[in-house]
Amino acid sequence: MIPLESISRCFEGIVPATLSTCSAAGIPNISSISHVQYVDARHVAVSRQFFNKTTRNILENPQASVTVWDPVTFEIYILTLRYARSETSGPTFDRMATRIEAIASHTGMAGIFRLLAADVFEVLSIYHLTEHLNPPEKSDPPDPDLPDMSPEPAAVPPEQREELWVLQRISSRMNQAPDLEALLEEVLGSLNEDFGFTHAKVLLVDETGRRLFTVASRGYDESGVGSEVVFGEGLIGTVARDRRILRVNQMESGLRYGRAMRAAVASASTGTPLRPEIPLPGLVDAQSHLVLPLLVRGRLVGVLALESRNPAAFATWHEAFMGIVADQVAAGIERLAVSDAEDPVAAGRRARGAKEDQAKEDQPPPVVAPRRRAFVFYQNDDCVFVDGEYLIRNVPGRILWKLLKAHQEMGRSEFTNRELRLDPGLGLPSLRDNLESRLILLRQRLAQKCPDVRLPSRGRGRFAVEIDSELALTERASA
Amino acid sequence: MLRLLHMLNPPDAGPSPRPATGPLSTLPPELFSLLEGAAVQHLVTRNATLAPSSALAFGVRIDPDSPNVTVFVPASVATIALQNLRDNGQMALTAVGPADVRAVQIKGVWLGERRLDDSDRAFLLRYRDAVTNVLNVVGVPRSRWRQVAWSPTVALRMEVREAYVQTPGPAAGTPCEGTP
Repeated sequence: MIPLESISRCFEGIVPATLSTCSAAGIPNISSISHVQYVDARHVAVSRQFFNKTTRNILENPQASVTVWDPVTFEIYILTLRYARSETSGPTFDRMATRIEAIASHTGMAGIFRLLAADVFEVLSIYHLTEHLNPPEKSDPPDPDLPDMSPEPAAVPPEQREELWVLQRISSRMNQAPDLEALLEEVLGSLNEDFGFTHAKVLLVDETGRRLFTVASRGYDESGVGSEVVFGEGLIGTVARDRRILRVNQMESGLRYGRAMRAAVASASTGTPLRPEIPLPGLVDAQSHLVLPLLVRGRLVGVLALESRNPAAFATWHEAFMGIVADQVAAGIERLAVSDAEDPVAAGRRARGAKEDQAKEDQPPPVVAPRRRAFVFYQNDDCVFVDGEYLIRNVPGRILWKLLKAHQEMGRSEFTNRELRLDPGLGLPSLRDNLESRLILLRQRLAQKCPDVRLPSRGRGRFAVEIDSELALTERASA
Repeated sequence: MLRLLHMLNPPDAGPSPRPATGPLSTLPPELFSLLEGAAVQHLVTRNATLAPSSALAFGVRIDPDSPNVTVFVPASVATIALQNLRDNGQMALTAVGPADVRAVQIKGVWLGERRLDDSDRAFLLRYRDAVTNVLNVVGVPRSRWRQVAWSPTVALRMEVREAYVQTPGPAAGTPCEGTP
């Protein structure tokens, strides 16, 4: 039999797959399905969101058939199936539920469109159909519409050495990173240069434990640093909530299915309010997503999100492979985010950096009039605006305000992480406060919106406040 | 000859009128239009042991004067379907709009085969072009769909006895009025 793994890219085809069944009375039934879930070498599963004719038929007569289309070659595979069982819990159910809930959330259908069961079928045979296709004419010019879809890695196994090499590369680059900011830079750099994943971002859990914020990204016109995702919302929020890897290829196909269901529910006027659709963060035309939870001893520290315009960018094996990478990244974040101990190597590097900075400072600066910056802090939501434009809020907002006031009122320009941790007014949690990540976020937002205010590091656990402009600080109760 | 073909069925011919009675008479317009429109279609039949088998269908023509339709199936994939139909005659067809996943299913019995005429061939050309265009919108290269060997085609006559909404959602599986 054709190995099931070798046709996994057909399970999310552009042309909808169909599931055929037959009642005990001999009446056939056929329905389109958005996704066929690979379970193991002998089984596939189909999602059940409603009890319908297909369900009744397989309970009466376990014989079934699934037809899937190869999205690249348009060849057809017909799977002869026998219904085995319905699962309402366990790994297969959980993976399918996560996928469905992510798409539901993405189409504003959270809580309405959910998985009732994963119907698992034994695959008895696979028939490969090519007779419906004419051979391509050799004189045909290349089709400009043809998407760039690289061969399925499962069908053409990559050299093992190559995979080990990229793993070694990212591991080595992460090990060299002296601090969290450098670590994130190395991770995204390696994903781009070594793995070929050009669009990626890392989000970390904020102090509420219910939201993520983007701390680093690569490949986008706008970095998106500081953007937030609530747990349970969209693909990334669903992964954060469920702490499970989510891979969605042929994203548009899945969304069309979800939107069709949304339209059907809306027209049924059930009275259930539908939430507005939330836009995908990142590439507006992304076709594939691989979203990985970053876990340390079962605790979520963040999410690594990869996306691609290639509809078949991520294969089944990527889940396990990138899962290893995600574990490494999570451990690295944990190591560098919570330790304030001075690291001699990092200190040396920073000292060199400081000398270089000093050398730059020794050069006569260009004579320019200092710019005036108007900062406003809104007490009701800890939000900071600069020159009328939103800058940052919550813990990083409170930190910035503390630093700016100390600089203006007391002339201070050197600070330690420790004193921030000991300040109860900042609202940092006593354990795993993520202070390092908040400072990274703050630095990046300042670099984007107000580059004449900087917070350069002065060795682990220490940093400076550098300001090249005149500050006007105003505090208001609310906007 | 070409002039005669255009008179019989001009390239911009509209859809067939809706039958006055039977399950197709009560299909919502947006689902009725799928049957002769730009929808991906699959036919399902079953053998004597109740094992279902599906095949790509390549267009449906509606007879406005009866509950009957003609389902076109590429001959290259029709072998099992024909065996099953000769065994028991049970058939069903689903039509899915690729862009918005609206879907309809019709069920019925096989009445036999018929020969294709020129109007059928003109219809099939229009169907092929319409599906090529709509699939291209969702990312299927035109060259791929044009590779489908739709000719020679088998024309299967079907008496429609049931019609169902099949757009994903809570209403999927709802029978249309006129369905027993």
